[in-house]
Amino acid sequence: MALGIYAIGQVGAVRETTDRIVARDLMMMRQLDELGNETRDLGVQRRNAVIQALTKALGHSTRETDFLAPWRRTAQNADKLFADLLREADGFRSVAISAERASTYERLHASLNQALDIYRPYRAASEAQMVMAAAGDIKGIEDRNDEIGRQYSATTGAVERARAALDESVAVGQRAAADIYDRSWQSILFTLIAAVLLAFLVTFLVTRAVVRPLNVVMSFVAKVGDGDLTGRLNPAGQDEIARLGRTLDGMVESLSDLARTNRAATTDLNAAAAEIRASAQQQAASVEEQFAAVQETAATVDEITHSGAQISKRASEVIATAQATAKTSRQGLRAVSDTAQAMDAIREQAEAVAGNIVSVSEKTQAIGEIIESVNDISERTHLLALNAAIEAAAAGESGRSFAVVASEMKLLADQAKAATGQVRAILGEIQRGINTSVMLTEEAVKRSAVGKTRSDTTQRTIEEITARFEENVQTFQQIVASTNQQQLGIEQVMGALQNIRQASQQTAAGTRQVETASANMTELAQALMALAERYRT
Amino acid sequence: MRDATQPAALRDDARDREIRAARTLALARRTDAAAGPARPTYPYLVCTCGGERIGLPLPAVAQVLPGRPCTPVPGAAAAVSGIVALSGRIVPVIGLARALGRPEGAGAGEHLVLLRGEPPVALCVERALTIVRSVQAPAAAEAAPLGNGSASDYVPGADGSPDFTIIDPAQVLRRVMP
Repeated sequence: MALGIYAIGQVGAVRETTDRIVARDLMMMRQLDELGNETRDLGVQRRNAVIQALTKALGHSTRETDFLAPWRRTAQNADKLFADLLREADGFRSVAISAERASTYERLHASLNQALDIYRPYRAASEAQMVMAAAGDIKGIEDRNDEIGRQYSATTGAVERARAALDESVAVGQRAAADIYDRSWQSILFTLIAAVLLAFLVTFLVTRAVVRPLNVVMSFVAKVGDGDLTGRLNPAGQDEIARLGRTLDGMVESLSDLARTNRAATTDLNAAAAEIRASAQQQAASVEEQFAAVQETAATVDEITHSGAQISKRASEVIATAQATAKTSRQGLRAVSDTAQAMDAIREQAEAVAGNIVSVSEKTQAIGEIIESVNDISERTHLLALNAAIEAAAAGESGRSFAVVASEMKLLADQAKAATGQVRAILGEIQRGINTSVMLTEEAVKRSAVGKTRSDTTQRTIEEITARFEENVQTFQQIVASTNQQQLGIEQVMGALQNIRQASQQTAAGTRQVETASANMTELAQALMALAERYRT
Repeated sequence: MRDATQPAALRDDARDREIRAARTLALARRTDAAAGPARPTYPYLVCTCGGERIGLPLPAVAQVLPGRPCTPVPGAAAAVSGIVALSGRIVPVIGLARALGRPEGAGAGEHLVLLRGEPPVALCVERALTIVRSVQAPAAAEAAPLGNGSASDYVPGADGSPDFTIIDPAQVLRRVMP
C-alpha cells in the first residue's frame, strides 16, 4: 500500500513537472510567435502605407485608407507582448526547477531585452515614416526607407533569436523531466523488490502457524461431514485455531444431540404418520356412517313434517274443545255463585234460628224461676198445713174438721210440689233440647260458612280453570303457529341436509386424499429415518 | 201436636196405673180396718231422719218450722247442733239422726220440729212428711222410768200412709240432755 502511494506520488510529481514545463514553454512560445507576427504585421502595414503614399504621389487615384490607427494598435500589442514576455521570463527565472533551466530563462530574458532595444528605434522610425506617409512626404519616406528596412530585419532577427533561446529552454525542461522520471522509476523498483521479499517471509510464517492446524481441523470437519460425530479435537492454547477447535467441538456435540433428537423425532414422525393414516381410514368410515345418518335424518325429518301437520290439525280440534269447555266452565261459575248466595241465605236463617232459640231459652229460664217460686209456695203451704194440723190436734175434738181441711191442704201442696217437680224435669229436658238445638244451629252456621268457603274456593278454582282454558286456547294457537313455522324450518333443514350430504361426499374425497398424503408422509418418514441412521453418535 | 201430646198421654197412663195400684192396695187393707171395732186412734207427725221414718206423737209437737242455720255451742253434747232464736227465745237444736245414732242424710236440717214443754227444744229432721193417725198408743213415760222399757213401737203403713217408728221425744231429750 505504501509502495503504491509512493509510486503514485512519484508519477504525479513527474507529470506535474512535465505539465508545468509544457504549459510555461507553450505559453512563451505562443507569445513569441505572436510577437513575431506583430512585428511582421507592423512591417506589412508600414509597407502598405508607403506603397499607397507612393502610388498617390505618382498620381494614381487610390483608395484613401488610414493606416496609422491600425498600425498604432498593432504597435501597442507588440509593446504589451514585449512587456509580458519580459515579466514572465523574469518570473520563471526565479521559480525554475533546475539551475540549468534558470540559466536558459536568463538567456531568454537577455535576448528579449536585446530584441526590445532593437525594436524601440524601429518602432519610432516606423511611426515617423507612417506620419510622413500620411502627410505625403515622399522624400522623407524614401530617405528613411532603407534604414527602417534594416531595423525591421534586425527586429525580426532578434525575435527569432529569442525563439531559439526558448527552444533551448524547452529542451532543458524536457531533460529535467526525464531526470525526475528516472529517479522515480528507480525508487519504485527498489521498494517493489523489498515488498516481494517481505511477502515471502510472511508466507513462510503463515504456513508454519496456520496451515497445519487448519489441515487438522479440515480433516476433522471432513470426518464430521462423512457422519462420524464420535471424534473430538480437544485443542490446547488460546489462539484462534484453538478457539475454532473448541467451537467445532461444541458444534459437533450439538450436532450429536441434534442427530439423536432428529432420530427420535423421525421415529415419532413415522409413528405419527401411521396414526394419521389410521385416523384417516377411521374418518373415512365415519364419513360413510355420517352419510347413512344423514339419509336416516332426512327420512326422519320427512316423518316430522307429517307429524307436524297432524299436530296442527289436532291442536285446532283441541282449541275448539277448549273454547267449548271455557263456555261450560263460565256457566258452572254462575251456578257456583248462586250456590254461594244460597249458602249465605242458609247461614243468615240459621243465625236467626239461633237467636230465636236463645230467646226461647231465656223464657224457659223465666219459667224455671216461676216454677221455683211455685215450689217455694207449695213448700210453705206444706208446712202451713202441718202446723194447722198440729193446732187442730191441740184444739182436740173441736179441731177435728179443721184437721181434715189441713189434711186436704197438705195433699194439694204435695200435689203442687210433685207437679212443679214434673215441670222442672220437663224444663230440664227442654233446656237440654235447646242446648242441643243451639249446638246444632251453630254447627249449621259453621257448615254453611264452610260451604260458603268451599263454594268460594270452587268459584276461584273454576275461574282459574276458565283462565287456564283460555290460556290453553292461546297456547294451542301458538302451537299451531309454531308448527307452521316449524314446517318452514324443516324445509330449510331438508335443504341443509342436502348440503350436508354433498359436504360429506366432499369430506370422503378429502379423506381419501388425506390417506394418500399420510402414506406419502410415512414413506418420507422412513426415508428420514434412513438418513438419520447415517450419523453415528 | 201428636208428638207433643204422646208423652203426656204416656205419663197420664203411668199415673193412672200408679193410682190404680194404690187403690188396689188400699182396698186390700180396708178389710183389716173394717173388720175390727172402732178403736181410738192417735196422731203422729212422721218425719224422715237418717234414711228412716220416725213418728213423733203430735201432742208433743208445738210447731213445724223451716230449717235455718244454727249457731254452734262450744262444750255442748255431740248431738246438740247449736242454738237458734225463735220468737225472742233461745232454743237449743238437737240433731235427731245424730241423737239416734243414725247417719245424717243428704237433706238434713230441712225442717225444725219445736217441742212443747219448758224449756223449749227443737229437733232437727230431714223433712216433716205428714200427720198419720194410728191405733198404736204412744208409750207411757212412767212405764219404764229407768229407761229400760222399749224405746219405740213400729207402725206399719196403711191407707196410703207410710210405715214409721214411734219415738218418745222425752226419752230422747233425757238421753241427750240429762
